[in-house]
Amino acid sequence: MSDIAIKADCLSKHYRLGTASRQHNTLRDHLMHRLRGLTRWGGGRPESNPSFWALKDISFEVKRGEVLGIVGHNGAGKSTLLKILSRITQPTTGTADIYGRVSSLLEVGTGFHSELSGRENIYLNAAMLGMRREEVRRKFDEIVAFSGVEQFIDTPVKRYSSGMYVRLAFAVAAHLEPEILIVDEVLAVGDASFQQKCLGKMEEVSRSGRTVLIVSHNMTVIEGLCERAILLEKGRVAKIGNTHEVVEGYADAIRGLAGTEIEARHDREGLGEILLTRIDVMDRDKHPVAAAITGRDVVIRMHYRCAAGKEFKNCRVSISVNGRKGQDLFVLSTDIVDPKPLTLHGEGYVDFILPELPLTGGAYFFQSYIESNGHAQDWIKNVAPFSVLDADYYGTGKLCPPGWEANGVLVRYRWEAGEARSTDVLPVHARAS
Amino acid sequence: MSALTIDQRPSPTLPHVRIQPARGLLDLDLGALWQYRELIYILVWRDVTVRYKQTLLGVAWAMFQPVATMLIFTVVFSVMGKIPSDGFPYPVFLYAGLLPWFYVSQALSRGGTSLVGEAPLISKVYFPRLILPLSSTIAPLVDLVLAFVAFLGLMAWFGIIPTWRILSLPLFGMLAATITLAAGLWISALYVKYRDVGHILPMFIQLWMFVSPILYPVSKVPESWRALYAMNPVVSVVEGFRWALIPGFHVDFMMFLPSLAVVFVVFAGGLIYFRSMERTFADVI
Repeated sequence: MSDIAIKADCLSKHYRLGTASRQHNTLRDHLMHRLRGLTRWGGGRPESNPSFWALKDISFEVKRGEVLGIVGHNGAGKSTLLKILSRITQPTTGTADIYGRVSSLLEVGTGFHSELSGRENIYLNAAMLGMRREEVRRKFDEIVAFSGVEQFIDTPVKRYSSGMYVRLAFAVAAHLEPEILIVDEVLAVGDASFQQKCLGKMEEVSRSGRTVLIVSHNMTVIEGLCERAILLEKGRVAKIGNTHEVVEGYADAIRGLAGTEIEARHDREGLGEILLTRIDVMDRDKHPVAAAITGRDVVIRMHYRCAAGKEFKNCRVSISVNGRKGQDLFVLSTDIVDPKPLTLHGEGYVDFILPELPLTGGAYFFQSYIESNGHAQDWIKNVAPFSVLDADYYGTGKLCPPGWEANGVLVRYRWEAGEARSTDVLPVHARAS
Repeated sequence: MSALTIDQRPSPTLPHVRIQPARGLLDLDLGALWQYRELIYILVWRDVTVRYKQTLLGVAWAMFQPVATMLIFTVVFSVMGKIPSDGFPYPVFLYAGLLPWFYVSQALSRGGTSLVGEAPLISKVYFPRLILPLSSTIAPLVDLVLAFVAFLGLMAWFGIIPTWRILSLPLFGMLAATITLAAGLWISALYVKYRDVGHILPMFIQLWMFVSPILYPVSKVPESWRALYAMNPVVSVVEGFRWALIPGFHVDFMMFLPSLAVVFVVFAGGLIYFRSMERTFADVI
């Protein structure tokens, strides 16, 4: 019992759908509703609001010192679960036992007041997050140093840049010392170097034997920090266990547009005797997925259909990937990589097998092209979206710099540093950090 | 939060919290309030600091406002309106009433909006929600003290020397705070659910001022209405302040009983209502 930090037992949370729209409901509406009810015989029953379970029968255990990732789509119930565990809202049924002090960072900078100085906000924010004044005083210098806003510590935070604001906020949060830390998407903020600092701090926290719960859409973070993860789907636990399996399950789960509706496209060019009918994105085991994962093997399957009773010689089937801004990133073409003749007839498919997908996370587009005997048969631009989930390509726990999402091809390389001054010194080999 | 029971087992030493659906109405969980006492302090400090930041007069506003109001009201109601003041100088009589009223109106408008005003906080961080109306009730006490200092100047101007009764002032101050908190609990919790409250509140505060003996003495209220009039708890506060500050001011302490009963009922009801609504604040706000 003593090695358990969190034990959730059948946690469920029920929301009336009215709740969201009701928040600006007025007293007048309420009174009118009551009055109308009275005029009906027996008071009449107010029409029941549609309702749904944001969470249903969630049970799991987190051991002390464990770092657990929680993944799922928007609306799967991740935030609701964190809110229940951090006591912001109550479950409708079920219980959760929590052993140890909990701090939650559901959003950095909560409670910051723009009129107050950085120094004042540190005390304010820390108190809100449950830190004692004595504790803050002790760690004050450390917090300021971590944030890197020393010069502006007595300036009202309304004059801060958004980067400074976030850094200061995270610095406070990072110096909490709860036994259990609950984090939601903290790393979505700040510049690259600060993100890395945060990632380092999180690793440090998890190594120090504290229990951490992380919700993130960033699979790199989840894979890098968590041994175990939970996949939530529609308020239920869809998968729980080893992080890699859960992350794969997540990629599976995001079934997007890929592989649909291509037959209905009219914006095609070419003779049209061979038509592209579908594109499937699949994992290494040829299971269709809605999104590929950076650094993992991916199979792209192009389905085609030929005009009845005809055979097409010297065919070329190709697909290219366009980045966010529409630029061509690379092309996969049957003839370049293997010059053996390709003859198509009837219906079939061509698989392109890409080991270790070298793309940064984001939304890309496919462009397809089929030709026979040098004649264009079917050419579709932006034929289908191609989603890639960011993951750790180089195995270093680091992401590509921001701005490269859906925009970058990753290549394998290494680097060395040398000194120009002397010729007899051998180059220093870069160490993998 | 009524949903929690802190289990203080000797071992293991880690605090254990059980999260479960709330039951019962009267579980006030004052322990949690005590645990978060530093937050109360820091919120009060924040409210006071922020209020006078980037203002030219700074803290002097807390004195300037009631003094200016007193001067204007004196001209309008005493000089022009010929409203009596039981034989005491009208400015002193008026200011002694404005003193607690400024506090009540300010604390009420801040306390009433304290939850909705801190919506992001409520949906992001756990702490006993009671802290918000509570700290909004405490913060304006600072202004009250400053306005009181200005009152001492006014007394000196009129050559009035306070008696021992002035020592009872904190007691009436506490009564004012209790009334404000009682009303603030209801208003803040209702405001989360019904946004009309934002429009009603200023009107409600203004009306309340006119049914309280601030501009006029209680003696102007017809005898037959007195019993009903005494139900207004602010009557007790204002009369108490005048009794404590103005030597020779006569107060019928029997008038205090109905208002004390009203305060008790409103406060207890407010606590229960607040507690029961608290569970849904984060979902509804």
